Amino acid sequence: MSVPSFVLVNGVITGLSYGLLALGLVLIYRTNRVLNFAQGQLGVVAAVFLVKCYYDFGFNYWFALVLALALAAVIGALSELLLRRLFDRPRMLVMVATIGLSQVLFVFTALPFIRPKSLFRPFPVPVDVSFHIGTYLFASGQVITLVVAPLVAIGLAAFVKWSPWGLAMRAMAQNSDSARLSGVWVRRTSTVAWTLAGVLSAFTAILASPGQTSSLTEVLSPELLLLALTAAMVGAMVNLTVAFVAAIGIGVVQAILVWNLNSTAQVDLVLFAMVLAVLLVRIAALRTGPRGEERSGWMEGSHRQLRTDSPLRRRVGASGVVVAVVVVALLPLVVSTGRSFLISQICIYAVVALSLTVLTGWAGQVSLGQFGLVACGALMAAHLGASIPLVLLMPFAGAVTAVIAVIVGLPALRVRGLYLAVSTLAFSVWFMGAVLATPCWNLPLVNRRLCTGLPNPQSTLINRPTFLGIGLGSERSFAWFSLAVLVASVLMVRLWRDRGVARRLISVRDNEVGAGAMGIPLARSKVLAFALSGFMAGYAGVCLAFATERFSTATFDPTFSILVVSMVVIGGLDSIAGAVLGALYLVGLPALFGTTATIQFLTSGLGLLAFILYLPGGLAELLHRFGDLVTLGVEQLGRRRDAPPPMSGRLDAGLDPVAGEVAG
Amino acid sequence: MADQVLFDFAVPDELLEEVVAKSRDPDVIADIGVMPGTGEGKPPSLVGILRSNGFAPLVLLTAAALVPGSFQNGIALIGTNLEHSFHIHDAALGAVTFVASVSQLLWAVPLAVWADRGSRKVVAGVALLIFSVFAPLMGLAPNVWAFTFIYLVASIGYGVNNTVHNSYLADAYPTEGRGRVFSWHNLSDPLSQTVGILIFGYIVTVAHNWRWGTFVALAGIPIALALFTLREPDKGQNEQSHILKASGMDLHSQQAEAPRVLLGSAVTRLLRIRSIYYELVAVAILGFAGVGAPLFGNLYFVRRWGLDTAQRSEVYSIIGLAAFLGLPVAYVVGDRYFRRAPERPLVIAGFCITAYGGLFVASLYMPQLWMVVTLQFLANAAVSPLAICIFLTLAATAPPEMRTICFAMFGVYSLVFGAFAGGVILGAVSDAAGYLHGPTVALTLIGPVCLVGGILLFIGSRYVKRDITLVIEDVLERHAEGKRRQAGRAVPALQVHNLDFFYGSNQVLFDVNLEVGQGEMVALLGTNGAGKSTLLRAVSGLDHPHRGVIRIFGINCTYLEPEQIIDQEVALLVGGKMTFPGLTVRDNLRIGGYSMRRQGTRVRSALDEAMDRFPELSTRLDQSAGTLSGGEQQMLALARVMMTAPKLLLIDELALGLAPKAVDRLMGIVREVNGQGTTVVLVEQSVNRAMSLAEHAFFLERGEVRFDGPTSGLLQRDDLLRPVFLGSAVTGLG
Repeated sequence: MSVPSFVLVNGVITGLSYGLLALGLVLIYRTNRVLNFAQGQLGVVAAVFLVKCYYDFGFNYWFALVLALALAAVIGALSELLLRRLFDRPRMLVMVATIGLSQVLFVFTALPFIRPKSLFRPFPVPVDVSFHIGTYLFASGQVITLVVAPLVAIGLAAFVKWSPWGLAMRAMAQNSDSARLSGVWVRRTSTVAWTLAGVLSAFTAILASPGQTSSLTEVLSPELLLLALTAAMVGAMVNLTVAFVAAIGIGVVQAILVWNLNSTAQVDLVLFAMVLAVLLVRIAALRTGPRGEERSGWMEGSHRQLRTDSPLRRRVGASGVVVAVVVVALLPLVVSTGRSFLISQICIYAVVALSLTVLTGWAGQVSLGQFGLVACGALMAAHLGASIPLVLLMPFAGAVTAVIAVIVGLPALRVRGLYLAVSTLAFSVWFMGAVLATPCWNLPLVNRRLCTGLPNPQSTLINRPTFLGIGLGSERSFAWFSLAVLVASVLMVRLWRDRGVARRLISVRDNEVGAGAMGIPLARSKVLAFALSGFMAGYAGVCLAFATERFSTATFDPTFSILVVSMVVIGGLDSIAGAVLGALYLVGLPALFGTTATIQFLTSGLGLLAFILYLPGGLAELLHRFGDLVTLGVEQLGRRRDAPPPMSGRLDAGLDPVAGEVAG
Repeated sequence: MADQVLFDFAVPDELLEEVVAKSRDPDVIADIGVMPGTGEGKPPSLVGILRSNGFAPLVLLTAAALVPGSFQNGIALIGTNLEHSFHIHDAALGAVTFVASVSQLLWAVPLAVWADRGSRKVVAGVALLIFSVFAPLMGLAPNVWAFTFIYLVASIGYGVNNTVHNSYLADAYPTEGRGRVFSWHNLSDPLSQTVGILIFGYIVTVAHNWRWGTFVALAGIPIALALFTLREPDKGQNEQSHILKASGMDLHSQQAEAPRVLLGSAVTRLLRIRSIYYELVAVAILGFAGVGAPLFGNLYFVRRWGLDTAQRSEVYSIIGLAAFLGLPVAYVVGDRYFRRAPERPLVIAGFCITAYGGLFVASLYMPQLWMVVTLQFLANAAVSPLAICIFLTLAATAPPEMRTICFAMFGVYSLVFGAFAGGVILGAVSDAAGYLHGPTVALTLIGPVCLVGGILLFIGSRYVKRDITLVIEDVLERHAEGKRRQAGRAVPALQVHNLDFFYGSNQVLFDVNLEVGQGEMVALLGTNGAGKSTLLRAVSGLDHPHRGVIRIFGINCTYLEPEQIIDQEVALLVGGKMTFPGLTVRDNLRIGGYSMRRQGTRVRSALDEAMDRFPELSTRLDQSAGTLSGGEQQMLALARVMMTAPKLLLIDELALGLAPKAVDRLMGIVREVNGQGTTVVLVEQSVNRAMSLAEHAFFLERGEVRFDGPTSGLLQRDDLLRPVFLGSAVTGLG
C-alpha cells in the first residue's frame, strides 16, 4: 500500500469538510437529540446565494460572504422555529421531519432571488492561492479549506466550551423541564444551536463548492451523510473535538483506499466495515446518555381514541376494507396498462412499508436500510427467477433476506434508536454500491468466483414467470398478483398483531427492562422483529423485480429507504392501514398527477412536514376518524329506524351509499 | 361501621357540592349587565361618543391607514411601468409583490408585541414615519433589488393598520361605540382602493413618470407626527370602568404592574380562549377563500370568459365597490346587536361567510357574464361586514393587554395558514381538473370551505359570553388585589385564584383557590392524580392554566415562563426528575447558577454555600450525576435549586423513593431554609410527615381543594383521609 503525501493532504481536505458536517450533526444532536438530515442542505442555499451575490449583483466577495452567512443563520433559526413543536415527539418523527426540511430547502435554491442566472461559472473564491505536491495541484478552494475549516471548528469548540450556551445545550437535551426551572431559555438555546448549525453548514458548503462543477444544489447524498454520521458517532454524538478529528481520519482513510484499491466496491466494503466497527467499539460511550429519547413518547403524537371495541365499528372497518379491495381488484379491468403497473407498484411499496411498520412501528427499531433488503429479494429473483417457481421463490427469498436482516440487525441487540439508523443506512449504501454493482468477485483463499451481484448492474432484464400456472406477463394480471400479495401480507401482519407478536415487540420497545422482567426474551424478540420484517421485504423485493422487469443498481438507491420511512411516518407509525395509505400517498399521488409541480410539492418535503406537524397520527388517524364518523352515522340511522313511525324501507336504501363512502 | 363512614363520605356536604357544581358548569357566565358594551335600548350616538372622547384619534388613525393603503394599491397600478423600468417579467413582479405582502406580515407580529408592552400611539406613529420616509425612496431605486428591499422596509406601514390601530381605538372609545369606530376606520380600505388610487394615478399621469407617484407617501409624515401628540389610553380602561361600575365597586384601586408576557405565552393564552380559537381557525380556513378567490378568479375569467387584462380589471373594480355596501351594514348592526347579545356579531359573521360561499359558487356556473359579476358583487357585499364583526368580538374577548397580538394573529392565520394551503390545494385541484374547467372546479371548493368557516363561527359564538366573563373575572380579580394592596395588608407569597387546567380535553384542576402567606411552610396533600403536581407545574410556569390567576408575591405570573419566574425568586423541585444524569455534578450545579451567570461572585458564593450544606457532593464534583445514588441525586437537586436562594420553594415529593434517613436529612434542610424566611410549599404523600413539618395544609381531591386549614384540623376530617390512606395513618396518629 503506497501513500504519497498528496493523497494524505487530499484526504485531510476531504475529511475537513466531513468534519464540519459532523460538527453540525453533533451540535444539533447534543441540543435536541435529533439526527438532522437537513444539516447539509441548510447551508447549500447560502452557498448558492453567495454565487448570486457575487456574479449577478457584482458584490464584493466579503460582503457577499457576510450576506450568505446571514442568510444561513436565518434559515437555521427559521428551521428551528418550524420544527420546534416536534421536539417532544418521537425522535423518529423529528428525523423524518428534517428529511422533509431538507427537501424544502432544496426547493429554496431554485427561487429566483437565490438561484444565480448561470450555474456553470466557477464558484467564487476570495484569494488565489495554490500549491503543488509533486504533480498534484491543490487549488485555491482546497487551500482555503485547509486553513478556514480548522479555524471554524476551533471557534465552535470554544463557543461551546466557554459560553454558557454550551452547557445549557447539553443540559436541555437531557432534561428540558429541569433546565427551564433553572432559568435556561430552552427555546432560545435551541434557536441558537440551529442558527450556529446553519452557519456551520454554510461554511461546509462554501468551502466544499469550489472545484465542484455544477452539483451545487445537490441534496446531501446518503454516502456523505453516512461518513459524517460515523465521525459524529466516534465522538459519541456529543464530543465535538473527537468527531472532528475522526472525520479527518475518515477522509484520509478514504483517500488512501481510493488511491490503492481499484474498485469502488472494495472501498465501500471497507467503509461499511469501518462504520460497523465504530458502532461496536463506541457502544459503551453511546449508551451512557439518557435512554429517554429512545423509548419515551413513542405514541404521544397520536391521540386516537379507538372505538374498535364496538362490533358495529368493526363491521364498518371491515366493509370499508372489503370495498376498497374489490374496487382495486376491478380497477385493472378499466384502466390503462400504465395505470395497472402503477397499481402493482403501489401494492409492492405498501408491502415494503408494512415490513417497516413491523420493525419500526412495533419493535421501535429504526431502519434506514429497508431497500437494501428489498434489493436482496430482487437479487434472488434475478438469479433464481428462471429456475425456481415463483410460489417457492417468494418464501425462499424471504427466508434468505430474513437471515440477512437478522445479521444487519445484530447491533440492535446492544444499541437502540438512532444508532441503528446509521448501521442500516450503511448497509443499504454498501449493498447498492458494492454488492449490487459487482456482478462477480473472487472469494479470497479458496479462489472461487462468486456471482452475487446484479448480472448487469446497468440494466438487468428478467422475465416474468407464471404463478401456479397463471401467466403474469400482462400488467393486468401482475396487478392482481400484487394486490393478492398485499392482501396476504396484510392478513399475515394482522395475524401477528392478534396473536400477540406485536404486543411482545411493543412491550420490548416501550420498556425493555419491564418486558424482560415479565419473562419476555429480549434478544429473541428483537431478532424476531428483524426476521419478520426481512422476510416481508425479501418477497416484496422479488415482486418488485418482476414488476419492473428491467432494473439497475439505481433502482435500489438508499434514498428509497428514506422514502419508505416517510411512508410509514405519513401513514401512521404503527398502523397497518397507515403503511398502505402511506404508499398510496407517496407513490400513487406523484405517479397519478406527477406532471404538476404542486403535487410534487405536496408529496415531497413540504407535504411531509405539514403532515408531521399537523397530523402526527398520520393518514391512518384520518381514516380512523372517518370510520368513527361513519359508524356514528350508521348508529344514528339505526336508532331512527328503531323509532316509530317505521320508514325502514327508505332508510335501508340510505345505508348503502354510506357503506360505499368508506372506500372512497 | 367502616362501611357507614365510607358511605357518608360518598355524599359530600352541601356547601362543597354547590361549589363543585358551580365550578364544573360550563355556563357560569356573568350577568349580561356587567358585560362591557351591553345594555338596554339603543347604543349612544357616535357623534356623542366622539365629542366626549375626541375626534382626533379616529380621524388621524383612519388617515394613517389610508396613506399606506393608497400607496400599496398605487404600486399595483403601475406594475407595467415597473416591469418596463426595471426590465423584469410578470413572474419577478409577482415575486416583489409577494415579498411585500409577506414582509407586512413579518412586521405585524413584532410591532404588536411592542404595542402590547408599550405605547400604541408611538408604535403607530413610528411605523407610519418609517413608511413615509422609505416609500418615496422607492421612486429613486436604481434597480429592482433596491426597490424590493426598500419596499420590504416600507411595508412596516401596513403592519399596524388592523392591529395596533384597532387596539388603540378599542381603548380610546367606549365599548358601546366600538363597532362604529372600527367601521369608520375600516373605511380607509375601500377609500384607498378608489380615492387613493385616483390620486396616485393622477400624479403618475401628470408627471409621466411612475417615480413621482411614490411621493404620495410623504403625506404620512405630518399624520405620523400628529399621532405622537395623541393621548395613550390605558389598556382595558373601558372594560374596567364599565365592569366596576356595573358591579357597584369603587373605581379607584392601586394597580399592580403588568408582567411582560412573551409572545409564545400570549399566543398560548389567546388560543385557549375558546371563541378566539374558533374565530382563528375559521379565519385560517377563510384565508383559503380570501387568497384563492382572486388568484383563481383571474384564471376563471380568462379561461371561462376569455377576458383580457383590461376587462378583468374593470370586472374587479365593479366587484370591489361592493365593500362600500357592507361597511354601513356593519356600522349600523354591529354595536346594536352586540349591545343586546354579545355573541350576535359572530353569528352575523357566520351568516356572512356562508352567504358569500353560496353566492360565489353560484356565480361560477352562471350562463352570462353579467350574472357572474352581479352574483360576485353580491357575494363581496355579503362578506364585507365580516372583518368588523370579528374584530368586535376579538376586542371584547381578548385580554386587553394582549389585544394587539390577538389582532395580529388574525392576519397571520388568514394569510399564512389559509392562504398558503389555499394556494397549494386549489392549484393542485385546478391542475388536475384540466385547463378549461380547472379554475371553476377549484373555486367551487370555496363553497364548502366557507360553510365550514361559517359553522366554526357559529360554534365560537356560543362561547362569547363565557369568554367575556373570563375578562370580567380578570378585572375583578385585579381590582380585589389592588384593594388589598391599598388596605396595606401583607402580600401573600403565593395566590392561586379560580384555576382551571386541562390536559387535552381532560380537566385536571377545577376552580382551585389557595393562598400561602410569606414565610409559611404548607403541605399539599392528596391522592394520586389529584392534580398536586399539575398545580405546582402551573405555578412554576411549566404549564399554563386555562382559567384563573396565579400571583407570586403579588405579581401576576399566570402566563410567565419558568425562565422568567425564576427571577421572581421561585424554585420548583420535582422529586427524582431534576438532575442531568449525563453531566458532572459540577456542571449540574453550574446549571443551578445559570440564571445568575452574569454575576460571577454570586455564583461562586452560592456554589460554596451548596458545598457547605452538602459536603458529600464536593468530593464527587467530577463524577457524572447519573452515577450518584437516589438520595445523593435528590441532594444534588436540592443543592441546585437552593443556589438561587429562592423566597418561594415548591417541592414536589421530596421523599420519592428515598430511604427514611435520607428523607430526614433533606427535610431538616428544608426546615432550616424555611426558618430563614423562605416560604415552602410541599407536596407530600405522608400525612405524618406533613403533620411534623407544616402548620397549614391543603387537601386536593380530583382537582378540587377539599380542605384548607391548619394541619391538625385535617386529622379531624376522617372523611377525607380515610379513603385515601385506608385509615392507617389516621389511627396511627390519632
